[in-house]
Amino acid sequence: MDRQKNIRNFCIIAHIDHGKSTLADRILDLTGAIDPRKMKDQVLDGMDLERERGITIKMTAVRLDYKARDGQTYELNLIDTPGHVDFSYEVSRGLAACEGAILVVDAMQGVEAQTLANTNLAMAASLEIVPVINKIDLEAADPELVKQEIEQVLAIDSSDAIPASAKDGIGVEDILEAVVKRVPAPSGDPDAPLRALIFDSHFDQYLGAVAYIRVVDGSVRPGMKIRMTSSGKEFEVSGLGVFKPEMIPTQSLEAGEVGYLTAGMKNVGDTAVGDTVTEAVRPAREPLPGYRKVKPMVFCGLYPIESDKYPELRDALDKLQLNDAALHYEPETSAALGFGFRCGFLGLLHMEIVQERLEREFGLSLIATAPSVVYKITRTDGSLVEVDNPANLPPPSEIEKMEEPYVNATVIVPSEYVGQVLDLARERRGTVDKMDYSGGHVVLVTYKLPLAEILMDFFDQLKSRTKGYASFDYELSGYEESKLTKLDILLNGKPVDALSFITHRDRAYPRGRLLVDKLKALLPRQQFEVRIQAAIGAKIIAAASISPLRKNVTAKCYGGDITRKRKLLEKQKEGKKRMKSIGNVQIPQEAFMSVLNIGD
Amino acid sequence: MTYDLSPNTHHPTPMTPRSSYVHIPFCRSKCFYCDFNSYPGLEDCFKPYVEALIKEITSAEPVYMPLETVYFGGGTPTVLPAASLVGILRTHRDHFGLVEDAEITVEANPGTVDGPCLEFLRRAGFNRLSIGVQSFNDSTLEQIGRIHTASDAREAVRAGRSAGFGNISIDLMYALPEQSASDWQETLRSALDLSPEHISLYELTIEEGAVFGNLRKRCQLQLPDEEIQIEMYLTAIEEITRAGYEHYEISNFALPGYRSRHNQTYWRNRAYFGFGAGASGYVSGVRFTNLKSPQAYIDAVESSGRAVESSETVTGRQAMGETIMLALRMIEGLDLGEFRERFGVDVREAYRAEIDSLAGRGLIELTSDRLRLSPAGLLVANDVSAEFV
Repeated sequence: MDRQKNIRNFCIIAHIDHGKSTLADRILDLTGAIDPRKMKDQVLDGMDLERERGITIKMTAVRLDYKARDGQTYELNLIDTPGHVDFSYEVSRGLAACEGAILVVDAMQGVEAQTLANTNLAMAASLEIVPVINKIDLEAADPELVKQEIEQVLAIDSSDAIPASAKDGIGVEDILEAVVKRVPAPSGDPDAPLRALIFDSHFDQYLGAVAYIRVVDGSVRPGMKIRMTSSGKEFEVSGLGVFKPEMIPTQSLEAGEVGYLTAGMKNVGDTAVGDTVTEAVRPAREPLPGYRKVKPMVFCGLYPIESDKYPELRDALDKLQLNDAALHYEPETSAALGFGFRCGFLGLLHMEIVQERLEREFGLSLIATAPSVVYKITRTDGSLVEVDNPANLPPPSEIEKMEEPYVNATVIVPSEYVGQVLDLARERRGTVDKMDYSGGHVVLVTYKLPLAEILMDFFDQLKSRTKGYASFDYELSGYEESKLTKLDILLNGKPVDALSFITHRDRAYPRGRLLVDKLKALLPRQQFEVRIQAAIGAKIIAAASISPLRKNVTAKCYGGDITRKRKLLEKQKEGKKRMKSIGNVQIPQEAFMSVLNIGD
Repeated sequence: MTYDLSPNTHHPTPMTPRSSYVHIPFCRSKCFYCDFNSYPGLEDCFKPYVEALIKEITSAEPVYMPLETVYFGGGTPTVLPAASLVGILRTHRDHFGLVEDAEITVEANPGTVDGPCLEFLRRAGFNRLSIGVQSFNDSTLEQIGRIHTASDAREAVRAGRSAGFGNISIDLMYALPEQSASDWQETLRSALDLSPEHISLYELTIEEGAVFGNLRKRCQLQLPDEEIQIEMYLTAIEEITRAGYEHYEISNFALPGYRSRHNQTYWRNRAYFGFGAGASGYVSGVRFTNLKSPQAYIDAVESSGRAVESSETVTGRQAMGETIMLALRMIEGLDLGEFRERFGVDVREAYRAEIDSLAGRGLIELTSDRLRLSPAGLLVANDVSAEFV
């Protein structure tokens, strides 16, 4: 118990852009974890992509030594958690590795949807919450109002909230003092059989999968035979250590400690987040609570634009999966797009990140089909089938009923925009559960709507209709029966499977019309006429045609025009490269996503 | 005529400039389609500008080969005093030398030239006149912002003839706002009645920076349908060639022996000098463009003798692409032998896939010694050229 007395395991939770990463940087700075000269801003966000998007995707854990005002040195383990709804399960496991959480609220923006969602997760994990009001240096900061919101919306005592400006280093030491004083020390049993929680992992070319663990009970040493509770797989520990933030090997990890473990595991699938590591010869009687298998929620087809790049896409996905256990994929063939993969993701952001990494890190040019949720179909013969690709929907005559996933959505919005939020909910087949005005000038709206509706530019619509003031979060609530139908798109009479989508029956006509018009605007003119049709079964519900391109010639080309002209042609050619030929019709990448953007 | 016959005379290569373009960035008023580098109301700049031009020319590295062509373009070069134009030409002669039958062109707009001025230019060595007629329909002229009438245009051609210009080119435009196919035919007939040696006809291009660009943005521009535009182009080719002209470039026609030598420099992708504000040159494999603003140009030349704003070295595949892109503008197309000699590869090997695909779609024709656009390819020349860049 003594050893654990000076350990504090904590995380930082916040809505996006409220300054979580900046605060983490300052804490690292203050505790001397990093040589200031080597310090890149936002060290904890390891990937470039994260830094660019200003969000945290992967968690990291850092051990810091902090000499507190009481004269004692504490071992602080800062566990960074992703800030996005797609990764809420990972967040919950990260929180489960802690005893306390610093809750960062922007002094200007106040409490937002992810503040609430993350606070709820932290409370569910029984963490001690240390509220921090950040960005008090800003002129428009209103700490008193934010304090009120914290009390009213989050139901947390904000009387000892710490005013801070992570950017300017104000209040950072007070925050660490609060962590030391208020966050409880871990209280595991050092002599019990090993129980360690895996809260993240990454893949290392030489070490294999590296599990990030929080030892709850017992201890672990190199050479120990361990067992992964969920899979029953056994490994021999080859290495242990802590992040400072670089990996520093240690001889053991004891109850209460946070660090990493390697055991010759081939991929991160062996280190399932939320799993319990225990000793093979002396297994714990009970695993740690809360593990569940991560299931992808959103699916889309990924196809190489050049069909001979299929093997490269497969290799790239294999490599990404080493590091991303949540990424699912299996080969799929599309009549229109050729060979590709059906990929499953935790959510839209996860999908975008994977696509971007495939393009950027592996140099692939991809066509992504519109994302789809997983529909549950009961056939007339009583059998059940799950469909994650509209092209695979059984014919209507064989369908007894269809169910689709619903979510509980939470929107926090200034009261003057409540009407817009309710309108959007109604348009998206949502039903309002609750409107909570107790937060003063902000209103908390909770409603239920189909997940598929969120995939269709819901965020963009919410943002634009509320001038960016609404914040949004959701969690899956379950499946419900819906009246759905498949809409097919035909180009010159041929169905393009990759453009098919499933929609609510009442909306099929307007959406078909909208999509046909969108495609008409998006498809480049070809040297022949292109007919675009939307159909339900054999019935055409909307049509348009693009007249053939007969002329594309620059009138003048003299001395001063040559460079400009060459560049224009290069651009034209580049654009063409990014299009997929279906039959002899060239289709630009955006066309496949246009299925989603129905807002404008 | 002064030939520079210094002992280290270079062997001419496509990279040795034999042509010079001189830009005069001034005009009386801005036409509605125009986004060229040209400014009305800068009369105060004329004198220092001409001085700067002369300094820029004399600062250029001499090439030890007399020039074959000099082209004064604009803007409207003839808004400058004729003596200034003559002075600039003289500077070329003194600094580079000119071959005896050099082609010396000046662009002129109706209403900016008179008999004495043209006679003066002709006597000083200018031998080709390019007149911006655009249309023989007065209401069309007004609608595109021209400051002259059809009869001014006829008068300019007549004055050019009597001044002794035996090589006159006229520019025409089609697909203009509210222009009908029959309007266009009338303009064509009027043009042919004047028997110019050379005709350029340009489909109206809407440039964002021009008055028309703004009108289009506000949907206030009514242009003929694409089908009518194509008909206008094809009719023009038919009528003009029937009158004995050779259609030798997408937008250019000439009586035998009167093709623009200067402009063929561009389409054969040979080197040329570019002098003046915003002018582009291509010297020793480097494309460069001068500062656009006349005042910035004057200041730069005053202090350093040069006014280059940007430059780009064109090498390898890029140079091959440009060569094909430009050659395909000429009806006779690319000379396969010349290409091989210049780049050391056969174009049919270097671009086998592209040529096969385009020929398969009927857009290009390959003979034993040339690669050219087919009649169908002519209308989609950009799509064809894009395959090669």
